[in-house]
Amino acid sequence: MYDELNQMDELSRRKFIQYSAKALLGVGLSSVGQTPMWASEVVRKATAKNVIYIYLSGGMSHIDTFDPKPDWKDQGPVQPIDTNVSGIQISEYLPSLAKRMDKLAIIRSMYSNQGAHEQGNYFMHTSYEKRGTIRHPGLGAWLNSMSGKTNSTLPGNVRIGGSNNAQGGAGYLDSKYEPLHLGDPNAGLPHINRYHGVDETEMQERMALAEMMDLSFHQKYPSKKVRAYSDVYEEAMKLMSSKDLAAFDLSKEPSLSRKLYGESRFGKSCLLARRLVEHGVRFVELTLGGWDTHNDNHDNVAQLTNPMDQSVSALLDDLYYRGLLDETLVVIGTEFGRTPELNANSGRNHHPNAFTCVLAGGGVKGGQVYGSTDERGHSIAENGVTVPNFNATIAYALGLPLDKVVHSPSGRPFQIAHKGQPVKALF
Amino acid sequence: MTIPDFLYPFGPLHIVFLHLPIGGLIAIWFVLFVLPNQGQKHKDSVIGLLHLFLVFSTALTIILGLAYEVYGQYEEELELHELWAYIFGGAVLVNFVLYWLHRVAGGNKTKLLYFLSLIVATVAMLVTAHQGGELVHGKGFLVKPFRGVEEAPIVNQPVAPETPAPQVQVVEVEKPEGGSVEVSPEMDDSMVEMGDRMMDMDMDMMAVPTPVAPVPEVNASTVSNESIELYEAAELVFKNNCYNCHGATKQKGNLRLDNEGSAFSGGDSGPVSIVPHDVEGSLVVERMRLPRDHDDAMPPEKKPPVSAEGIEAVIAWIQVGAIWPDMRERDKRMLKYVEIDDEQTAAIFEKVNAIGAKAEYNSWDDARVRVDLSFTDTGQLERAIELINGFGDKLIWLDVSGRELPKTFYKQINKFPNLERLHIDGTDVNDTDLKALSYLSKLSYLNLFDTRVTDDSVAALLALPSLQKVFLGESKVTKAGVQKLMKAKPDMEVIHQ
Amino acid sequence: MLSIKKSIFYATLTIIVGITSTLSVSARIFTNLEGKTIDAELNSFEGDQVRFKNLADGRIYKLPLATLSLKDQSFIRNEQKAGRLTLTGYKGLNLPVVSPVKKSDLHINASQQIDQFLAIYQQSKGVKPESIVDDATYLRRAYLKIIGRIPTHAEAVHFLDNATPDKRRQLVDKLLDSPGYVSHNFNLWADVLRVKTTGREGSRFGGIFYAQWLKDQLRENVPYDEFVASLITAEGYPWDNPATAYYLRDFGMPLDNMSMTAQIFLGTQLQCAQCHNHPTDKWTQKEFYELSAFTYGISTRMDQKSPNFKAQPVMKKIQELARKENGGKKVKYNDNYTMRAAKEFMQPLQWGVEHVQKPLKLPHDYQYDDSPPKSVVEPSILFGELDTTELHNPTARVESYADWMVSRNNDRFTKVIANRMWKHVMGKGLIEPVDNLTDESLAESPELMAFLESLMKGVDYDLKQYLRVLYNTDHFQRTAVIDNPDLDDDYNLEGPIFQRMSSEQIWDSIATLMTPDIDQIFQQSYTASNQGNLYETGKRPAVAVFLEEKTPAEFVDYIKVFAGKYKAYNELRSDASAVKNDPKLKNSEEGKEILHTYREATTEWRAMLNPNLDGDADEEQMGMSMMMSNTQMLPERRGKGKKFQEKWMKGIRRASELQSPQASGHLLEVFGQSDRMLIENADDGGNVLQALFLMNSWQTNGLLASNSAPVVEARLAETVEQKIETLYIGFLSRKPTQAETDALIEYYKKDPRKARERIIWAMMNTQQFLFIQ
Repeated sequence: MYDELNQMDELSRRKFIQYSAKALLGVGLSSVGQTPMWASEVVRKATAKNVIYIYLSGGMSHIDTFDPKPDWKDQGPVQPIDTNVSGIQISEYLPSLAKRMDKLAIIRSMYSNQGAHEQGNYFMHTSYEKRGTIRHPGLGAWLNSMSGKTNSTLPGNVRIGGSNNAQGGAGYLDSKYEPLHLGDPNAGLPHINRYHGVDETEMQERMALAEMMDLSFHQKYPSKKVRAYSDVYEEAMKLMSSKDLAAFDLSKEPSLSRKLYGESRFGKSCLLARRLVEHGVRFVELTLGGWDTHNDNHDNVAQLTNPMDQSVSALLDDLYYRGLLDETLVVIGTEFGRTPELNANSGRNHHPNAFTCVLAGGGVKGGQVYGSTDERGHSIAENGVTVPNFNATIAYALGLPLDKVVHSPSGRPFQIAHKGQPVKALF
Repeated sequence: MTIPDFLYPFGPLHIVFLHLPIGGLIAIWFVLFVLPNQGQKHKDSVIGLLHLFLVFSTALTIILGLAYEVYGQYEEELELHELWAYIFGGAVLVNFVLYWLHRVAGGNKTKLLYFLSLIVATVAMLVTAHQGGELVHGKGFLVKPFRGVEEAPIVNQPVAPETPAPQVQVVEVEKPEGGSVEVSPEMDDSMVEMGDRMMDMDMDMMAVPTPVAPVPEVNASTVSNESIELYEAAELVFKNNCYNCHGATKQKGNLRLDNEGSAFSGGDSGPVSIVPHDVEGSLVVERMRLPRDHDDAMPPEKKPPVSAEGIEAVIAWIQVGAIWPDMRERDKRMLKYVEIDDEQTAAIFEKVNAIGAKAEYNSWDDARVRVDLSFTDTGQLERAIELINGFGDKLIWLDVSGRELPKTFYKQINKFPNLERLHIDGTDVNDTDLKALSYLSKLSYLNLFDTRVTDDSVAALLALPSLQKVFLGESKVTKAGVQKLMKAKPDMEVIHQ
Repeated sequence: MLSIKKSIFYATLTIIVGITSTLSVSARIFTNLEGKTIDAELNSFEGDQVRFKNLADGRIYKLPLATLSLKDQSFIRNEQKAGRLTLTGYKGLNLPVVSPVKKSDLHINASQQIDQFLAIYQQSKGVKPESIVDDATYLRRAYLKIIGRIPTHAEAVHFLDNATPDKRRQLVDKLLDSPGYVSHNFNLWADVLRVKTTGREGSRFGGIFYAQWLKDQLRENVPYDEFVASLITAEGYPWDNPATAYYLRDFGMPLDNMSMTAQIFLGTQLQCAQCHNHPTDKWTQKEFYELSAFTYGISTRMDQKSPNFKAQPVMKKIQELARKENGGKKVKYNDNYTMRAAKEFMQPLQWGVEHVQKPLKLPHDYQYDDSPPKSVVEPSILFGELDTTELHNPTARVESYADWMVSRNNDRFTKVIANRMWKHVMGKGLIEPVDNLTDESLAESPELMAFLESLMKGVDYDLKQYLRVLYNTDHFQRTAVIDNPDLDDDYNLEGPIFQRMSSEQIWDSIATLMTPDIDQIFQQSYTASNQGNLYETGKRPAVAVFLEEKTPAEFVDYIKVFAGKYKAYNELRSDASAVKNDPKLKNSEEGKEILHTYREATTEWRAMLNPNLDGDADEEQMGMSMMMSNTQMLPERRGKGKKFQEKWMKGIRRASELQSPQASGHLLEVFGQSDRMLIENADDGGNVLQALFLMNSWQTNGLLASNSAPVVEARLAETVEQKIETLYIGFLSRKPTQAETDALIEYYKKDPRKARERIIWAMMNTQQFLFIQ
């Protein structure tokens, strides 16, 4: 039965529910119209439909951005500034976001146990520690496998920027949940149209021919990887026939909003993310790299925050006015913070003991700070939030069943956020 | 040196038999020096016998010792004792030979040799015996009675008082928000100090002290959910700290903790390893709480200790009765977010989702329905709208943004009296259409972004009793209109540029 | 058409001859009109007669040019045009020599021993070994696994028709000695060592020197232990010693760099121990720091204060000069152009590797009792023993560290490379993951592992020889086995692992389809620039040259002039940007004037920042011929489309000869090339973009369908059957089955063109094209 649960999509979910209803209460279809008998603590009404996950790879320096420590000797040139929520201050590197603090929930008490990029990044994306024997799914894959796509023709999971082989893909779930990776937000979807002179029927002919050539090959090698390719082709065909391809085309966007988001690649990615969400793509991850500021920390952070501040602000406004912010959870995540102490190259080193992540929209209460760090931002002072708990919070907003055990093909039991508990205070 | 298997069970007798050689040796000294020196002949034969006895009993003791070592799953901690045992054995043999040499040759030299060897043997015995003693009664057992009974603080791991203890959980049943994961500051500091321990602690540990959902009796499962949670927490502690020596592979002190049967039946220290509801009586807890340098402390001094949270977890589990659920029960628990489904709705779902739209339950535990028609396949919209009529009062959330709606749409909208949320942004909705919404007494959210509605709609909007949030960005509603709206309903959220 | 030729001409300007070039005659497989092939050296060309030396029997043949395939005809004509082929002889392609593998039979026995070990293992597991594959399958695998691309049509035919019994062994040796071996193994190591030729790693941190150097190491087949030692002990500037890029790659992160070293060469992952005792392995944080202490003294930023910093005298002079300009007062760096200009010019000197005396301290939050926080750590190794005599001499310390690392007594070092190379050949290491070994990790077959280690020592870390042994095993020739990562130990070494081609293998195979002589097209030099400074492989930055050739006085004079230009440029910049932002001014005369002068000023100071010291533009030599031979009739396209096509055609080289990593959106990236951020970060999963490319791209539908080598070959074939067979061999390296021929032949008769396009599209979209059987 659990194998069935593995590839649970929207429809079979109900099938499963019927099973369980019988199994557990002896009630089945008989109990038509009955109101639920109890609410599970960890599963609840989804406040968010979609996620825009802004991942700052390399490890964002928390004390130079969302968790300033003015009195700390190594704070460096950067000053804290007031936000539009009294009592909350963030770094002067983020002037526009400061004006939108009322939409943000800043978690200043994140901590992890992974001090290296690869491991930290993996942990952040999957809630599990990196193991040689298994690849865990990321939240995008979880979301789409558990509650299905919104737009049946577009991929439910898209990654913009970063590298093709980033962490947190489909893991052991079906490869169809693998995120579609767009390297350049401007490029749109390459090769999305049939080659000129190749019509629908010709395409079928060609497909059939390829099938024929592969006949014995497929018999000989019934490998998961090979099967994955047939899925991929299916997805591609669907995509080609989609009526929502405009979503990928930034030129369709009025120049005004283009200006607001800024000309930076990241700005364009944010804009694209909004268009995709608008067209029913449920999980979009943007990568903004270069945060590994071992050298000249402040110059680099200043440079990095510049586009981030503008574009994320534009994104929040845009979502807000369109009413999308209510159902779209915007996440700013990173693998770890950076040492309060400056090193010899006036840079900061990896610091998993304490860092900051940010949530906005999707039912999360804005204008709040959760948890805090000590006077130099070295360790957690109150309300520590583990990485699994952070991911649990996202899954919770999406109404995903945190306590559901899904078994990998090898029969090992896993949970969406590795038994993480949502931070309900944020909602 | 290998021991025939049949001997293993007799291993524990070592503890008994080891007293024979001791006795034997003492007896020899006694006879030699204490008994008045009369009747040499008579005396010789006694000593001869004693020597023979000494040799055999020593051999026996050593063999049993070796058997015990295997039987009791002991290892390095015994090596020294074993070595000395051999030395003692050797000494005894030599002593035996020299004794006979002396009795046959009977010179002064041989006498001297004999006495020397006797002393050596005795010293060896003292050492060996003392070690044995320490192994059995603990280090410094000789002086123990004179030491005061010491407290059992948990080294550098302050137990977080705010970590909700299980009793609290039971109390908390009324107030579910007890289920937040806030980790108490104390606990956190200690963790940062504890550095490495935290590192190799599975992240689950963080979640351990977290109270879990109260579940009413309705639960068909024989085991309540929190006790399963507690079990899993405790089991995790055992897994990380105990199973290496008390698991499937090894059962030191005959204690095995990784399955229900053996865990409760205990080991050499009696069937008190885990006593349901009795924390103080449960040896596992006592051993974990002992000061690290105490020789009964578990895990042994060499191995990393159980963290404060870990011990808390075990205690919590024992307090509620150390319930050991079987796999079936644990799996059942996974189904606790069960949701009641009905065929009719299911059928509609099937149909609607087949044409590219998305209809789903409001959540896993809420039979009401939300529908997103904005991605319905072209040409299928009418059909979709027709289908969702079937949801009737179940429908609370409807999204048709960006679609060309049939004029009939607003006429039939009253079929959804419970509609709370309506997205008609990017549609050609106009002021007249909007009036039709007046039936929706529960409507709290209305998205009119990028539509042609004008200030004339303000009235219609005000007419909606429960409206709390309305989006007017890029619509034809003017600043004035917005002002009017806000003045009339100050607590309404009006989003506009 | 013409313009395409032109574009290719320009394209090939950069394409020639690696650095360590010596004269060599390149052998090549020639095909005649009947499709017969000989593996021969071109000898001479007079009248219409071509003279070959057949490599098989060493005899000289004379053939009329007309009897050769069009491709070979145009090749020979091009060689003649290029002046390399005369009446009397053939100068040949000026190719770098690939040092040949020792053809010792001793090591063939080793291959048999390996198979015996496997047999024993399989018996113990109660499994049967897979069957030996047929020639076609073997051929494709051998080419992909030894030189990283599919065989050309000619090569395929040549092998399949060859009747000699030990032709497989011959093929292995031939491939090991071909340039393709270098490309293929470069891809492996570029992934492991995270070699970048782009960004800061590529430019100021020496990546462009590093990449070429790495190829040379492989070309010269430098023993692995020497290779590693040269990385670890590297010292100096990257243009003098490219190996220094190994440290510069992790500029400012000595501790991370050490973790990488341990992971790559000792298969031990210490990252965790950087902040706390390793949770799953035995290493303590102390041990981590003790090991780091060896390389902590390796500074990646040159100390400009130190007396032996070459530019000292010049800098002094310039400071004096600046002071004078400032009326003797002390000058702030920013408000003096001479000093700023000087800094600009001398930038490249900042980044190099030197061994200095720099004690490593424990972190301030060190939490264990064995030593107080911030206390100095003495270097100490993880295991084995080490000569500790002069650990306090910075260089000696690094050297003894290297000695310990690559020592024959360091079993870990040997085990890791033996295992890694086994994976390289068979698809899965005997121990997985190959770079995370612990004392507990046990090889699939410990006996075999032990043997491989002794073999690695036996061949003195000659990787090529080691690989030759593995390639000659029966095991390598067995049917591929599916290894399901989700089910542990369902694989018992019945045969090599069934894999998708690596991104590079896919790209290189497509390149081969377009350019059969792809292996002979080289990236002569990479260029990269960083903050205005230009870096180019094979050359030293201007500042380095000047320090050699100019007296300090001359140098300063140069800087004076340069500073002038620099000033002019900076002052104009603000005006220019003002103009740019003001559309009205932009179009006005004066606006244009300003922009013009600004552009001139820019070019002038740039020219002085990177003076062209050896005035020669690289004159074009070869490679062109290769491209010409099969890009005659590109489909006519106009405008943007054509531009793109031309650009793409220029980019047809082996992955190893392109930038590393490729820009996102490039085929290499789409198919999962490593981004070079993490060790071995390549990915072999499928994704929608791959499918879209294979289905709808101009490359599959246009280029390959009408201009690929197999198509050119097919044109020569008479019968339809032959044409179809040619295409099959060209793309899938196998003959079509009867069923397939029957199915296709009808199409072909009806509409040959359409049929051809269809067939090729289909073949490109089969999975057997992407997977190695």
